[in-house]
Amino acid sequence: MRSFPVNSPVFTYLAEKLRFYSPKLLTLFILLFSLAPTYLPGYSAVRPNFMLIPVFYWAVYKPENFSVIAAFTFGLMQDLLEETPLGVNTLVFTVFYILAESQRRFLSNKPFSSVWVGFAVLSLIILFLNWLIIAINYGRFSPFGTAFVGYLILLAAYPVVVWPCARLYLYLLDKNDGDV
Amino acid sequence: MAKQHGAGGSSSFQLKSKLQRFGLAALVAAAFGLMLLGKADILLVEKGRILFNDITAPVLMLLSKPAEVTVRVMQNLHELVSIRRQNAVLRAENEKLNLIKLDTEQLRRENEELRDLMKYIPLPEASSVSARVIADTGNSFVQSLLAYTGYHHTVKKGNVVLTGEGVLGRISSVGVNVARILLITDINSRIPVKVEPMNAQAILSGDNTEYPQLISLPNNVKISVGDRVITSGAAGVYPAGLPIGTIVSVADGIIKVRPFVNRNHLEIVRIVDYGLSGLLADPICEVSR
Repeated sequence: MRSFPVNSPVFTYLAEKLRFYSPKLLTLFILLFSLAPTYLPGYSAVRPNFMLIPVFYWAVYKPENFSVIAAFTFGLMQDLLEETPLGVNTLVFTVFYILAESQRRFLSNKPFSSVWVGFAVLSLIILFLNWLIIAINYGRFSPFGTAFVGYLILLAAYPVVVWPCARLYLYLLDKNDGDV
Repeated sequence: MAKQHGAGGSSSFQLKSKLQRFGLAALVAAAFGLMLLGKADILLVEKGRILFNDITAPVLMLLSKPAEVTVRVMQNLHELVSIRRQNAVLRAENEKLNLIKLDTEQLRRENEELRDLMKYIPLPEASSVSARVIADTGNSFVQSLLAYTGYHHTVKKGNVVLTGEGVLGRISSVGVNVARILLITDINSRIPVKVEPMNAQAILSGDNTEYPQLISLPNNVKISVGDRVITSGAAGVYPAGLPIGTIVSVADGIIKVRPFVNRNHLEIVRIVDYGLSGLLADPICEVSR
């Protein structure tokens, strides 16, 4: 019986590429899954932007695998999937990534709770920016209250959404150490 | 030599840093450019948007299954608990409906005779398709859904979307196998309506909350909580008489309407073509198959 050629150059190359793109693939999965109907009463009016969590996490911990161009692209994809005006989420994700990466040297060595607080501060700034840009686009203000409730849900959901990102990060770290 | 190498390294680092900053600024400018493009060429953006929705539709369908299954299980459990009571209520309703059916049949026959007498030309029959909701793209800034229509459908932009309870919204864009539904609660939604029983004309304006507002109501009209709101048929966007909701609050000059449609239990919707041409024709917006 022929054994599976796990040590073949092609397989090794494919595995390396898959590891390299895995943060982006996981983020894509989070994007699509966040749009699934939940059937929870009142949820749709306050549904938060869960994509801010993986964008923040990869900007702080693995910017080499998830660049600002990836953040730009995912923002564009979210604009296309939702009915938001084109460019809104693109701009929001790009600016959020730049802000998060600028805080990388402060946050990357901190415990989970400190990083959570850092996320809370940055995402509040981004929430306000998002609300303002939407208001400029539509020519009228959406209620900020519902957006703020969405923000609180986002903060509460942070540990849940960041968990698979953290597991993947640890796996990639182990793999890199193993290769070294 | 080492100093020269060090100096060279430092200047290349500065150059790299400047290029990075320029790249970031370029991306931010590109995002603003996309916003301008979205305003300047709406049709191109709509085509791109619906094409992307078509590509992701199979994955969205798959990912919507877990929530659907969970809700069905919960509903089955609830039904099992209240099945005896529901049975009695349904039997009573059935008897009433049988009586109404007899009256309706008689009225239908009378209607046919009268139409024949007046040489009445009827409106074209409404055609409809059912579609499954596969994604809830709503949040605090937009209110829309994606429905999977399948490949062989006749859905058009502007078609009305209904459930058994009332009006849900209308189709805002159509792809090969998906259609986007703009809900009546969306900030861009404006529907000409009438408030019963006084038949006061008004506009139902979405504001991205669960309860859209009633605006442009005549000053001398007194609205009460519980009054029924239906479509008025003005502008030819929605046919007259479709149920929308009831007045839920009248305070500080703001009138809120509770839609009949329960958005939290949406699986299947009905997309109806009444043959109305209230919206401007936009054939380019539909992706050709």
